[in-house]
Amino acid sequence: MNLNFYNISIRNKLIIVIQLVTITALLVSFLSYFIFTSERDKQNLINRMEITAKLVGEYAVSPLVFGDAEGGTEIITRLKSMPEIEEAYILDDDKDIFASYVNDSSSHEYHPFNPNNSRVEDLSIWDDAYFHILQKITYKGDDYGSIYLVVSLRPFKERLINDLRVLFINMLLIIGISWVLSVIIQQYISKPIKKLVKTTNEIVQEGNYDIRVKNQGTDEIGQLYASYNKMLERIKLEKEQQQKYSKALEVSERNYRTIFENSIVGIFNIDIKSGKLLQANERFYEILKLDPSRLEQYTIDQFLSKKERVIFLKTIEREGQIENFEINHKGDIWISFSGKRIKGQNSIDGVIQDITDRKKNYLELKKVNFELDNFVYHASHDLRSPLRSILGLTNLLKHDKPSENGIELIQRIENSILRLDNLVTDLLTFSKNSRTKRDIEEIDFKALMEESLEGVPYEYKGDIEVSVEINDKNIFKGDKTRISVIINNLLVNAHKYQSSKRDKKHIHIKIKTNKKDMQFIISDNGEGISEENQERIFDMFYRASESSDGSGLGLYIVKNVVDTLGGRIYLTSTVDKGTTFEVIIPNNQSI
Amino acid sequence: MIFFTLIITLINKSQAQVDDSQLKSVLIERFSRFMEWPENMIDSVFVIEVLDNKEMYEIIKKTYANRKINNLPVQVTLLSSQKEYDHPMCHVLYVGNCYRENSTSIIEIYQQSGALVLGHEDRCLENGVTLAFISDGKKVVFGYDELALKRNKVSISYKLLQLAKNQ
Repeated sequence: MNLNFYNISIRNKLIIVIQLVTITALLVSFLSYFIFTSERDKQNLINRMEITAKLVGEYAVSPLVFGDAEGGTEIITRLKSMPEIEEAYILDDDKDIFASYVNDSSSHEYHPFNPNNSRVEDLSIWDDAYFHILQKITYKGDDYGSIYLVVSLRPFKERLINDLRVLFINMLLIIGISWVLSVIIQQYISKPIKKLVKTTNEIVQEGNYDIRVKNQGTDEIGQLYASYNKMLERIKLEKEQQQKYSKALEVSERNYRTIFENSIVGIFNIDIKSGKLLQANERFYEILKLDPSRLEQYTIDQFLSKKERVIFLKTIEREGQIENFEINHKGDIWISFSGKRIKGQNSIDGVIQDITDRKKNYLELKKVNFELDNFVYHASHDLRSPLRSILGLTNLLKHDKPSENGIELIQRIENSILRLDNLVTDLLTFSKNSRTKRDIEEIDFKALMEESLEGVPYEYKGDIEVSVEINDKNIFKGDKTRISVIINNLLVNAHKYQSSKRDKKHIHIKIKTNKKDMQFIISDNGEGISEENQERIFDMFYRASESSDGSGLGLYIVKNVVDTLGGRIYLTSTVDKGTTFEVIIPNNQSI
Repeated sequence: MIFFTLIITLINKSQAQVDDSQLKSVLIERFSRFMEWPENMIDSVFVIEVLDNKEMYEIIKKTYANRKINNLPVQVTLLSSQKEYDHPMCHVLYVGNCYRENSTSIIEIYQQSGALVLGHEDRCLENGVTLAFISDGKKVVFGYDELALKRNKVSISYKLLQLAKNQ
C-alpha cells in the first residue's frame, strides 16, 4: 500500500490537516499552559513559604527574646494548618533548636539543621521531593535566630499530575470534537471537488461536452466551477470547429488522394540530398515501368542518367523549379519532368508525363516539314529555269515585229511570268530561311544599304527622295543574309506603296547599333495601311493593297526571319500619311 | 477590665536561683527592645525612674551600672517628692508601690509624657499601669492593661504583646 500523501483522498487530507493543526495547537498551548502554571505554582509555593517563614519568624522574635520555648512551640505548631510543611524549626542565635514542629506524615528523613554549620544564611533549596527554606529571624537589626521549613513537594506534584490529567482529558475531548467537526466541515470543500472529479470522469467516459457542473456559490470553488464550465464550452466549440476542419481536411485529402491516384500524369516526391523516391502515384510507376512495392529502393538514378540528373538538380537548385525537362527513358519512352522544390523542405514535388507519342509525332512532323521545305525549294528552283526560258522566248517574239495586238499579248505573258518568278523567288527565300543555319559575321551596314538600294527595281524608284542615317560605331555581328532579306523587303515595299497623290515622296532610313542590338527604322509618306489590315499584315499570302502585284509572302518572310534571329518588329501606319517599320535584331557580338 | 498576662520563663532561673527583683530589673531591658518612644524623648541617656521602692531602685541601679539599654547609658532615679514628677522626662517609670496616694494621677502624667509605666506587681494594673509583673511560683509573668496601653504614648510592639495569655 502506497502511503504517499498525494494518494490520500481530499476528504482524508482535509481531516488529517485539521487534526494535525488541532493537535499541534493543543500540544503547544497545553504544554505552554502546563509549563506556565507549574512555574507559577512553584513560584507561588516559594513565595507562600517565604511569607510563612517570615511570619513565623516575626512571631518567634519575642519568644526568642524572652526564652519562651513554649511560646515558640505554640507559634510553630500553628503550621499544622499547612499540611505540605512536614517539618518546621525555630533556631536560636546559637543555632540550637528553640522550638520545632514535625508533621505526622513526615518521614523524618531530613536533619533540620546542621549545628556545626555556622555560616548558614537565608537559603531556598529545591530537591526532588522537598523544598527547604531557611530564614534568619531579625528584629530592629538584631539576629535572634532562624526559621527552617521542610516543605513536601508531594501535594505540588500531585496537583501538577492532576493538571496534566485534566489537560490530557481536555485534549482528547477537543480532538474528538475536532474530528467530528472536521468530518462535517471538510464536506464543504471536498464535496464540490469530488463533484468536479465525478463530472470530469463522466465527460471523459462519455465524451459529452454538454455536461455542466451546477454552480452553487461565488467563492473560489464557485469561480472554479464557472471557469470549468467556460472551459467546457470552449472545448465544445473547438471540438466542433475541429470536426469541421477534420471533415474539410478529410475531403481535401480524399480529393488530393483521388487526384494523386487517378492522375493521368505521374506524381512524385524526391528527397534532394539522398535522391530517394519518397512518394509516387501509380501512374508514375506505370510510366517508368517500376514496381510500386519497391518504393524504398528507388532513387533518382532509376529514371535519370548521370548527366540528366546533374542538369535536373542544378536547375532546381538555381531556379527552384524545372519545367518540361525531356528525357529518353530506356530508348523507347520519352518522358517530360516538371518539379518544384518545396519551401522549407529538402524535397521536390513533381510530375512526369509520357510524351512518347507527342515526341514521335513531333519528330515525324519535323521530318515531313523538312521534306516539304525540300520539295518547295527544289520545286521552286526547278520552276525558275522554264520561267526564264519562257521570258527569253517572249523577248525573241518581240523582235519578230508582231502586230499591236500580239505585242500586248506578249507583254501580258511577260508580266505573268515575272509575277510567277517573284512568287518562286519568295518561296525560295522562305524555304532558305527554314533550311539554312545562321551564319554570324560582322556587318558593314553602309555597304549593305548601298547594295539594297541598288537592288530596288528601276520601275519603283521614280522621284522618291531616300535619306539614310547610319550609326554603326558599335560592331554588330549577325546573319547578314537574313538581315538583308529584312531590309530588302521593307525597302522595296516602301518604294512600291508610295502614294500617287503625293508630290514629294520620301523614304527615311535609320540604322543604329549598340552592344545589345541593332535598330532599323524605315519610314515613308506612302499610302499607309489601315488598322484592320495591320493585324493581318504579317499573314502568309495576305495583300493589304489593291494595287499590290506581290506574292503576299514579303512581310510574312520578314516576320519569319525576324523570329528566326530572335528579334522584334513593330509597325505604325496611318492611311494616306505613311508607314514606319521598326526592327530590332540582337547583337551577337560575343560569338 | 481585661487582663492579659505574659508568661515568661525566667532565663536560667532554675540554674542561678536569681531573685525575682533582679529578674524584673533585667526584663526592663528586654521590654525596651519592643518599645518605640516619642521622638522628643532624650536620646543621650536611658532614664529609668523608680517610684516608692528604694530596694528596687538599688537593684536596677546595680543591674545597669555597667550595662546599656538601646546602646544608651542608663540613668536610674528614685522619685520621692511631688515636684520631681511634675515634668517627667524618662523612658521607664517603674511603679514600686501601687498603694501610694495619688499614684494614679502620677501614672497618667507619665503615660502622657511617653514613658513606659511598669508595675512592680499585678495589683498595679488596677491602678492604671501599662505593664505589670506578676509572680506565679517559678515563673515571672506580666500583663498589660488595654486601656492603659492606648493611653500610654509609648508604642509597644505586638511581638511583645502576642505572648500574653488571657488569665
